[in-house]
Amino acid sequence: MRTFTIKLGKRRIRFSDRMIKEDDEKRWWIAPMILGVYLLPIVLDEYSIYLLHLIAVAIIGAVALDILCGFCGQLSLGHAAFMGIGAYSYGILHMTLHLGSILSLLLAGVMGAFLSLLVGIPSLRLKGLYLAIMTMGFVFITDESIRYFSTWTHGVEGFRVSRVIDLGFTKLSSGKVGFFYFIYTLVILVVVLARFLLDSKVGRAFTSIRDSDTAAEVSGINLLLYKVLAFAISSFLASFAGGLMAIIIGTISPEDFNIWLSINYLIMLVIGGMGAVYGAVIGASFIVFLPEWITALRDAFFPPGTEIAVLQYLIYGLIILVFIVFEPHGIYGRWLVIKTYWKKFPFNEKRIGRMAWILRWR
Amino acid sequence: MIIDGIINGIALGCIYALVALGFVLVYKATKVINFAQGEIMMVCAYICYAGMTSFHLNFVISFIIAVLFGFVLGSLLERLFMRPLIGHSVLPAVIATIGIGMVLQAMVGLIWTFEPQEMDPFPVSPYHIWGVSISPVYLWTIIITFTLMLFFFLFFRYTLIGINLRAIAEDLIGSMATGIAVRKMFNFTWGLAAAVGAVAGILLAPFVFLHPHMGVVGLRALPAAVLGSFGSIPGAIVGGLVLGISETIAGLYLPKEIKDVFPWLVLFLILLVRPEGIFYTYEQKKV
Repeated sequence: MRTFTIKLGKRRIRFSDRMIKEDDEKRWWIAPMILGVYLLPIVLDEYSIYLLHLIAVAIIGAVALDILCGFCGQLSLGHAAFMGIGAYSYGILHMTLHLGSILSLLLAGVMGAFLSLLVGIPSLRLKGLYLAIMTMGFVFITDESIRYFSTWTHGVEGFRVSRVIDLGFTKLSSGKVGFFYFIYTLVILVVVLARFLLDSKVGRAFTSIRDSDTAAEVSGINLLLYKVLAFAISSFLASFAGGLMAIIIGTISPEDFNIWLSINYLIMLVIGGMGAVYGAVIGASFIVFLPEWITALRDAFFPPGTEIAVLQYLIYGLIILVFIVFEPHGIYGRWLVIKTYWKKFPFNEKRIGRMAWILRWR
Repeated sequence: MIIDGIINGIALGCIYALVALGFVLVYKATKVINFAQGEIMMVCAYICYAGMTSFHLNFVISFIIAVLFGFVLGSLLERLFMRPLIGHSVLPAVIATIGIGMVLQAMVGLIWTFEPQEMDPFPVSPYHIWGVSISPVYLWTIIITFTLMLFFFLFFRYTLIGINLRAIAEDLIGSMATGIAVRKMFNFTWGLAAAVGAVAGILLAPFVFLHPHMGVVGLRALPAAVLGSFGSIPGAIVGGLVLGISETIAGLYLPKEIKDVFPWLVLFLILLVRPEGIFYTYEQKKV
């Protein structure tokens, strides 16, 4: 049994790993992982690099949703709305008002965070799933607003956004290797910050709200403040990811940001594993390839002329159900169980029992 | 014009009330918001449509078949996907209902394709009552809804199952201790909610076209449930009626874009002004 100490004022308190640790996380693999990601463009072709761009946006978005759903336990179906707000804010700020790229991206994120306060404060005052209902409505409201204010957003015909980003010292165009390095630096920054957030005071407040909001309230956590904070951080990152998405796909239209996108991000969390940052990363990198696999599946097994939407609904829905019922902590949770199993191989019953208990849905 | 609007609004409100009732029944028992309610509604409407067109049955018979199918579908879904999640947090169960909704949409899309179908089983020529002409669809919607409301009132008041359901909503552990078969009751609740959804779907079908995405209209009843303090059955009915009437009247004076998102704007206002809803009862919770 390992022990470690925590300094609390002048006192030192000893903890054993039975008491707090849920999983031993070794960090040595992070450096080779980052190096591996940075070396990827050498071996890949143009189209794969484009897909990796999409994965990067998905990772930022999924981590954003994970901060709200996985850490803080508040279900939001409005992720698409915030991505849409980010994309259109970036478009308007950069293309119409001619602000700088980085400034526009940040301001797009701030715009999302501001609107999240507007949605979040009324609906997070209550316990329960009011945020899910309100954010779902917010998706429809945003969609209609984009169509209504067509003088600014160009409505259904689509808003063309420049695919070049100006960093001041150099210009990067999306789909190219330079932009790849830029966006993956952002991804690593976001993932690392989210991981730090999970262990910080704020993150512990989030997780205790998730586990029992009444208990959290009793132990002195300001529920409204922390829930709104989680929602604001999540929306900031989501809008930021939306801005990046606008740069990558070039033309944005209201159909890109319907409720389907929100569910897509929820599926990423379900596949990867909620409440763990790496889970969101795994889920995001998995889901981007799914449409192509579905197309292949349709060509192989279904009669020609079957609508792709039908199969998408079917397969995404089945993925949700299978993962929720059989593998509720996703791929990352299963990986943790396997890892703990092999760690102390012959004498592992007790640890496995504890892991299985921890990994159940709370 | 305003009277027409009110009658139209009452009919729409009745449908909202029925859908909201489906949400509330499940929420009261299991604390899960069933986002698949709209899709269950849509599937049952399609079953009724199939009974009328493919099997050439009478409307009443296919209506009854669709409602029974709804009951079976609801309890089956509960048995398959919700029962493994009993006792855990509600979040995965809510996400699972989203998955159920998507699978149901896909099933309907595979069988009937994504083309909208038309279904209008009610007579076309309007009735004239006291000088006001009412379309038969509206009249029958109102009559069926209020009959159902009466049935639910009697059901929850006088039958053993209804009393058990109320006990579960009041105190889950206490009702387990007194020997109520909680799992069977959950199953029954899902079936009941789906059957109500079936009625709502068949009544909604003449208003909008029959389409796999019809379930989105069902989600518009969520603000009605919130207005009636999510978890109160009279609240759902009153909330649905208020929402339906105000939406129709707003549609007369405001632009179309606002009418389309009207329930969500109402929801925003409710959460801002009186988040507990109209029929709020004070609750205490132990840690």
